[in-house]
Amino acid sequence: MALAKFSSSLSSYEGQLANPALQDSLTDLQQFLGGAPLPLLVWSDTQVVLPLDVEVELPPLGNYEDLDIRAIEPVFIAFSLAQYPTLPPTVYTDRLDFPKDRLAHLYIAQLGLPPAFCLVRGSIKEWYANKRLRDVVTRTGNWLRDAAVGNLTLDSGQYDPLRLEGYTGTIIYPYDQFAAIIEAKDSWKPNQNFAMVLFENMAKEEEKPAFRFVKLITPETYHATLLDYIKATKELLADKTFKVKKYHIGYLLWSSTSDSYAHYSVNLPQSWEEFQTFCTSYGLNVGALTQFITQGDEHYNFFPELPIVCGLRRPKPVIGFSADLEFVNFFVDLPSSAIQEGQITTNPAVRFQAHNEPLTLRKARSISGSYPLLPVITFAVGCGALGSKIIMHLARNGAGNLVLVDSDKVSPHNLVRYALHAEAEGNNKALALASTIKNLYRHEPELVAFGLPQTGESIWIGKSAEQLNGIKYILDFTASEAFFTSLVVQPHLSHAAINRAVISDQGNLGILSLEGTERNPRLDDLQVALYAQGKRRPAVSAWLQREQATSTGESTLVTVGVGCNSETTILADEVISTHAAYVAQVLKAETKRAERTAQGQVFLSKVTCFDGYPVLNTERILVPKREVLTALNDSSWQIRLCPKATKAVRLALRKAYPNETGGVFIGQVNYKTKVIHVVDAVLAPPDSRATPVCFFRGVEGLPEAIGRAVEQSGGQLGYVGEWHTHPLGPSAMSATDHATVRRFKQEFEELPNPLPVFLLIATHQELLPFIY
Amino acid sequence: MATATIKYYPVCNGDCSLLTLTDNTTIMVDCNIRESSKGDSDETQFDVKADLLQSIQRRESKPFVDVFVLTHGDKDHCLGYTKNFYQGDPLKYDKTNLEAQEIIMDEIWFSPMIQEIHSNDEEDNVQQEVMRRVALHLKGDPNSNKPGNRILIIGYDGNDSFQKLNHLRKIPGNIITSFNQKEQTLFSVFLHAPFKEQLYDEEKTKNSASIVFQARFKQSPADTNFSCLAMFGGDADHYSWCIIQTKTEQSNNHINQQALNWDLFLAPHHCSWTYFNDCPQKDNPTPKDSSLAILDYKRLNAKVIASSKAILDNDDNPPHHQAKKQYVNKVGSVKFLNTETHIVKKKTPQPIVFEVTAQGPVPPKITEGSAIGAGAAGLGAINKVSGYGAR
Repeated sequence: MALAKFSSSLSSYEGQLANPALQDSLTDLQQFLGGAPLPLLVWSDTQVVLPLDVEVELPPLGNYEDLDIRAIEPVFIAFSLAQYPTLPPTVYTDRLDFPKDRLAHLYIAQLGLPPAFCLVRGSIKEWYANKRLRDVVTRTGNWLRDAAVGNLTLDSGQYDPLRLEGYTGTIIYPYDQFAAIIEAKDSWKPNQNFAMVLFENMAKEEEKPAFRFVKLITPETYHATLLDYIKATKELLADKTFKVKKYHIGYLLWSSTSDSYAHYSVNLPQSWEEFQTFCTSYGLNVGALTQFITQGDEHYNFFPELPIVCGLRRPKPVIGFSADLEFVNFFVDLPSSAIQEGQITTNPAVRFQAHNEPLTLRKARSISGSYPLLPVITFAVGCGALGSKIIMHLARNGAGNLVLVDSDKVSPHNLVRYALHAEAEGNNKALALASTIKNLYRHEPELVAFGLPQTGESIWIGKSAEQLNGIKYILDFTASEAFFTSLVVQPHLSHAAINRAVISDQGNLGILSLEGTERNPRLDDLQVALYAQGKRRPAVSAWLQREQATSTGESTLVTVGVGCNSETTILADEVISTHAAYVAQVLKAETKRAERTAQGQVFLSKVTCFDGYPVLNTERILVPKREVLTALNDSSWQIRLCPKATKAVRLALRKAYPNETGGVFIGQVNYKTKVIHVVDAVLAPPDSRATPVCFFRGVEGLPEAIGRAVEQSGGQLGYVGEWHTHPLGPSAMSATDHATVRRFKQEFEELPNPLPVFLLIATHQELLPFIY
Repeated sequence: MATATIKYYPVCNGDCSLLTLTDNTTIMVDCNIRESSKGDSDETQFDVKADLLQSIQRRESKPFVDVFVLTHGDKDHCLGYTKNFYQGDPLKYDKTNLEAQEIIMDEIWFSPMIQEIHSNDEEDNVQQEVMRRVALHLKGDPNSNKPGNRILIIGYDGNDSFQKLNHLRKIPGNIITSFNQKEQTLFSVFLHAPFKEQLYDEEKTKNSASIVFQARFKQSPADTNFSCLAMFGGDADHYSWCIIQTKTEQSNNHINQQALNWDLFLAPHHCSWTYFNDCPQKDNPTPKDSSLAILDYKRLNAKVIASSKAILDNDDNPPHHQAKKQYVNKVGSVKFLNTETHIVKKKTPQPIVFEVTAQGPVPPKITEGSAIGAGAAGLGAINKVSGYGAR
């Protein structure tokens, strides 16, 4: 008896092909297959099909699970006459008796057609963009070979689920939670085989519903849920806006027995009657649920679409999931008119939907190739343009330990360069961002995303040292000098890792500072160390000089950090994103290290321009631990010295022995933090004079040296004090020293920006700082 | 985990096979690398060396095979050994060796009694390398167990005694599960020959002494059945196979271990008549019962591979067309594959490759093409002068 073929029912195509691409592909295929003519058949007005016999190399020990795959397999390839190759060809089995119920990787059959082969993972359209028709034939042969040897399923220890093509909309719910409901037989009422579930339809403007799981409804929560439901429905009726929720009550249905079913159904039900047959074939009894929907008074739905998720018991765990339950998702188009006298009367239409898992932190990490980024609670202060973008990068990487702090609200103009969109308008930035992150990971129990609508300082105001001990990680994105200072002087955070990112140079420079261990070097040390780089890096020097030129007012100190919040700041969204993306990558890399880097680090991201196009550069600067001294005569002052400077002083002491020697210090004085930062020591000018007991510091070349330091740092650094040695002691100020201090004090007090007098005496044992 | 494969290289009348296990362990059975096959100079010869280098693993950029098995020392089983395999202390493998892409043999399997029978330049060098390693093991050198110094003694001693190294010895009837000191759960070798009788037996048998083994693949350690059984017999002749049959059946290993079954049978001595009876064939035209009985141990849809030149209807031996006829009688012509003619691309014969699946060994999937391409540096058009002009 001849093989029953689908294509036998089709007549041959007599027309001329008007599509040159199709003609070309068929000519190439004909050549590939040996040259015999390839007869086309008519399928519809718009489609033709090419029947082909594909040779399959059958395995020597017999086919996998005795599947009826044959050495010659008839298939047919369907082409769109007008839209090929934009619409790629589809390959179907031509055998009416093909073992479709036993094979995964077949598409759901439609309209009485044989099933099509699922030839590629992902989109066949994308795949075919780089392939020829002959490759489709080769792949079909390989598919059949894989089916015969049992290699279609990548892991034979697991069950390959149904391939759902042609679905109507999607449904999002956590597989594990639904599986757990079934395993616990957590039914609506005891001994039933269904649970009631609340879904929200997220599709606002489309016809195809997009259901999203809200919660399981129990008899205890039923009334409260129904009230919410009715309220939302009333709002919807009153005001058809985007924000209104469209709720649907749906059901999760399972089998009362523990029998498992291996067969596939390539013909999914399209009507209520077919749905019942489908359920019966998997041991699912629809009777009780039907009765509940039609006869009870607890079922309620304003909208006709009734979601029903069927849990099919499979013989092995389903690929990609933790249990042997495969969920097939339907919705019934069930207007109330279809229910009469306790019966579903009109055989309503049933559609199936594709399932999506809600996003979890683990999934986000796996997709972004990340890892648990922020193992401790992280206080991210400043949720403006830069902050919101960095925070969203981290959150999308699966970082879920965030406390977000910002007192500001989202203004319309913020949206020009902000991670969130118009729906955040008017909301507090920290709360809006936290709520967005919570929405990303709706069903994630491990997520911490908490918003504090407060200033950064409020984190520690009124808190004890013990309470602050709980703060382990701070990210400062405020661009606020006030918060910066407050952070620098906060005494109870020495255990915390503190990092700060700002944008400067009209948005062209991103600066990320990572403090060293035990806050040494600290943020202010890192800032001064960056200024000191002006000596060696012309780009840094040029930036500081630009800042100096644009700064206004009497202060010689420029404000590093562009306030992105201001409407007057001209800075485009994508430029901020460039810096934000780099900062996020560095923070990711830093948290991946087994131990935090002991030294401080400054990372720069620079956007420059060449030939009218942007050029991106990044740089990493390591900053060593500072030597920290307290002034001997005034303990409110601290001196933080770069090791390079102290090394130079100690070396000079040894070299000049037994004579004294000395010089001056380059750095910055900060009255707010009461810190003198020393970045460099200038050695004794050549006209200096020295004996074992006195030192007269000369001046030759000194003004030039200081001038260079001032210039290279754009005025950020300059003269901050004097140093000299007492090689033979004493470890104290001498009478001469006091006299010099008095002379300096007089001059310094009259400066527009007064300087303290800072004197450091170096002996073989110690460095002795004094400040007046 | 990768798919295990068996590859029979086309080397005319010679043997050269590569087994690759699921953990990428490689076992090379004999070698036959003709200098003339390298590069594109002779398109009738497949470039075995280039393919080998792509198929095996590297350690610190040095190519290595886990195990090298020399079934016996005939030149057509060790041709190219000297130039292509590294010999000597693995610690002294240097830049020159790397440039020559010399392959380190982490472990060598050798048979002392067979080794004494053969002598040619290549075989002598194999023997020298083996003796270098033996000396390390005898003196208990701490490096003797390092890759590149490892050995496995197959079968019995000839004139020289290796009794002190009995812990490194496997004899016929043994099942080997450790390869290059890695224990395998999805692969093993049942050792059939050489056996003691061949030491004292008449000269004929001695001359055809080869290491004979069955390579056995499983899909999962708990499987009781094998997913692929491949027989490798070097040049073993009908006398040897008769003993193999008798011994295996007497010990019941043909049932307990399925030790005689096969899905792939590498026709001994390049499809020579010696497998079926004495030569010349016209004086001894009837195949021995035992040789036919071995073939009847084939499993469903089994295949015979003749690693030889093309088999023509003439008096050549090997390969012998009457031998082919006997094999075809058993498996059918479609399942008799000759390395020289089975797959030929343009003029170049290609290796015969099988992937081991749960349903037995099958050819790999056909490689798909692409609609996008660019010529590589090896393109003929680039390497030849092209003439143009109006005249």
